[in-house]
Amino acid sequence: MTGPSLRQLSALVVVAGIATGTAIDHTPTRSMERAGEYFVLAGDFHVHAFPGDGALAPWTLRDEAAQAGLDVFAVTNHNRTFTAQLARWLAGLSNGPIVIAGQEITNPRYHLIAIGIEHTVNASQPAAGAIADVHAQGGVAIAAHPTPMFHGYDDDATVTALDGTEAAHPADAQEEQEMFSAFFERARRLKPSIAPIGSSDFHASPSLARCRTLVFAREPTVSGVIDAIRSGRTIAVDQNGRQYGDPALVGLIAHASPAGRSDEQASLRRLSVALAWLGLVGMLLFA
Amino acid sequence: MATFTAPIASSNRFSTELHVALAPDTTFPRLIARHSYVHGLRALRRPAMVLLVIAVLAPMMAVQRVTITLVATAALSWCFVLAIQTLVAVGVIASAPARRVPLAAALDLWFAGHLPYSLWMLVAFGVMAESQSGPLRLFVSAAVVPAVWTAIIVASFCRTVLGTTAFGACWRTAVHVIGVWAIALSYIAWAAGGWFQLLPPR
Repeated sequence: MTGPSLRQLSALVVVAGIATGTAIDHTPTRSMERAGEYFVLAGDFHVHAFPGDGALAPWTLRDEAAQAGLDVFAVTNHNRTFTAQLARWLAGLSNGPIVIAGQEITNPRYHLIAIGIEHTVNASQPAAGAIADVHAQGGVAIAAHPTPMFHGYDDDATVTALDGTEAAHPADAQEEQEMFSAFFERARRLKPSIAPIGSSDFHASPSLARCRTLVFAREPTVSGVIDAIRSGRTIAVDQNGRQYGDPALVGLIAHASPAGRSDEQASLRRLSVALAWLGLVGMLLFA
Repeated sequence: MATFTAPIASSNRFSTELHVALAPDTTFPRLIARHSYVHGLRALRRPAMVLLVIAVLAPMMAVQRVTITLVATAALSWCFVLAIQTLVAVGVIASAPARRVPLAAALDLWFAGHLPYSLWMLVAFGVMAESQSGPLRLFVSAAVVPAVWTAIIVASFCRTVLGTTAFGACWRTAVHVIGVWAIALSYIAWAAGGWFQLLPPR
């Protein structure tokens, strides 16, 4: 009689990792914060999902959004809305963060986030046309990671037509974040009511809600959020916690605890990941 | 290389996948007899291992957590990758009428060559899980290592398992590499909004 093989032991380590991760997993419940007449909702309006170039399926994404302390998020895959519509439909089946259907309208000259839309917007037209199409569907248009590389926003009239711009977006270098800030300052000079947006552009790295938007909505609904963005009642928060937006709104939440990721059992979570990873290595290398 | 891998090749403590990866020309013939009795379910174990690697690593990379729900949904989401790999493998295997084992056994042996890509995923996804902005371009560039390594294994598979000539192994390997990368790049282009997204910014 022989004992368990190294591969069997490795499989047990994988199971132990997954079991530990499952045991400590719980979705936090959040109570909506209030500031005067507004609900203050934490949002991420630039999220990619599977099928598409996101790693997580819509039904998983919603739970992760709750883990990340979000009240609302938008699924915005490149040039298609099927996944976003699926996410919105699934959201109607259970409680959790508000899900808004959207699209990252992707053109070589510009990337534009459209949220609150019903149909896919044609991406092969100039930015001004795409913005008009978004508005015609009742949605809002947000310039996505606007750097000087995107010449679709060179025209002031196009910038004026925007409802918001990503003033905060994950940046590898300080210069990149400064480009987003500079574009926001330019847009605000042209249109003082433009909404500053903080987005994670989540694909497959652990970045959901790394940058976020605080939305001052009159009601915690999709239309309430869309209305707040259209009216410019938002604050963008970057990865370092810096806030961009109307000082009066920033003052409203000065004493509120900022929404953040719930990670009460970080060491156990890391242990579960390490076990699963090491177990896989063992299963691959040993007999 | 042979000196370095000799202790592994002679040891039965290491996996078949590792033996195949390090010495395919000697390992495949040794495995052929053993796999002549592979039945349907047994032929699924190696594809299942590949799916497990993907299903554990995807949530690990994306949300730094692994739970049974995340693993199960990732497996459900990404099983199409395995389906495509299987279709490509069946195409290559069916193109060789003189193969030395039945189809199920050939598929089992084909998936025994998955170690290079699995190890690449383990390293790349594992590091990305630990850093919020991993060196994505470095890992994508590093994919050339498993691509070349797998091509060597596939060529050996064609010669030793499918019984093809050296030339036949070459063109089948080329078709496999081109096919797999064409499918992968097409999916990425579709998901990213167009082929222009794969080109460097102008």
